[in-house]
Amino acid sequence: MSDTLRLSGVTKTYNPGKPTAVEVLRGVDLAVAPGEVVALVAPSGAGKSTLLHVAGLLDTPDAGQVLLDGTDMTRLSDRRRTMARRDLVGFVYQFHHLLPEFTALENVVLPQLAHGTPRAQAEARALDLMDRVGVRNRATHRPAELSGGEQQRVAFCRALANAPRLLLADEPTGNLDPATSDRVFDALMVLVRSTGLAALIATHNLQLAARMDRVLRLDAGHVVPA
Amino acid sequence: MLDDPDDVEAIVPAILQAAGPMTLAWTWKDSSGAFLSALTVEDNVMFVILSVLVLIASMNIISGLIMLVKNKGRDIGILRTMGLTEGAVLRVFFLCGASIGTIGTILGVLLGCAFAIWIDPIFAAVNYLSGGGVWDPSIRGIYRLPAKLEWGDVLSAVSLSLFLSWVVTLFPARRAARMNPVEALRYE
Repeated sequence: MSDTLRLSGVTKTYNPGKPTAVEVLRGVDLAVAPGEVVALVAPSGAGKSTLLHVAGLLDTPDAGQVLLDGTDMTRLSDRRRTMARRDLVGFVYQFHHLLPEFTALENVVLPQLAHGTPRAQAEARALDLMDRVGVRNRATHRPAELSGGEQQRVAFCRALANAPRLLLADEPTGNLDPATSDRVFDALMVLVRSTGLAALIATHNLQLAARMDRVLRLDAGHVVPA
Repeated sequence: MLDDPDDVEAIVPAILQAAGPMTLAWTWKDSSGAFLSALTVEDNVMFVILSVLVLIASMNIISGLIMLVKNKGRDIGILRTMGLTEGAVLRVFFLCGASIGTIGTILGVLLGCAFAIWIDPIFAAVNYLSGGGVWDPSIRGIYRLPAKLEWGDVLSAVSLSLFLSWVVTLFPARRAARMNPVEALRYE
């Protein structure tokens, strides 16, 4: 079976050819197998977010390949990368980034509607996901009416709404206190394990990283085992 | 006799033919040529002025939408991350601006038509509220304000208003669609 995510020799430089050029990724090789949860640890500014954006087809590498489910996505058009992102990738950020005008349920339903799922089916799946992480009773609340931990759990549900093959999380518990962070991380792992998708989770928290299947470190633009 | 004085040219050839070759036809339009021409010019200039007003109103839609796009940068980034295409984001903001333009046009047509149809009662109401003397008929010799609702004028006003409001909406909508999701999320 092919890896869900494979990066081969990926490089990325900001402001190339200028005195202000910053070489962030210098030939990154990385693979995440289906069902595997991989931690990516690195200090701030090391390029974790850039790596996740490249892996999630939000940004293009200067060189190298990005393969999702064995398909090379590197040089696809913006539209095809958007379609692949919608079908294959779920994102979670440090801040929940929920749409404030919509309820928690609507936030989880929205990506499914964009995918073409009928509303009733989308709501059923959204409620099922929210049930699994314990926020079903908050379905009709707007993000401003939820606690930080609840907001992030709804964001997890939204990321997994379209049943992606890969979850990319950028400091998903970085904005929470240690106790809430543990609970939210447990909720994330429940979702990931129950859906069997691959996950690449960037974190500063070494204790959380130790609970994942494998820990990688981003060091001077290269990914190495921690 | 003519039912419509504007059709006077239609009977001129018949009169000339009946009266013989040494006849000169001189219609009311010929004797009031300068006046009619001035009315036409006034009509055209009025349309240009109203077009400029519609354009200014459309600029309000542009500025409102640009502010909306700026405020919603993070949300646009999230929608793009979720897999909404550039076209889908463009449609969201186009619908937003176009609906403002369409609702404004409908309200404008209703109010404008009502004003033209009921100009006399409206005029009387204004006269009553201001204590009379707004329009003294003894000065101008005009006892009522003539207002004629022409469907051609309504159609041109509606077309112009919809066209301008929809076209100007495209620019901020395109700007929203072209927003880089990585940049949009990075600076929030």
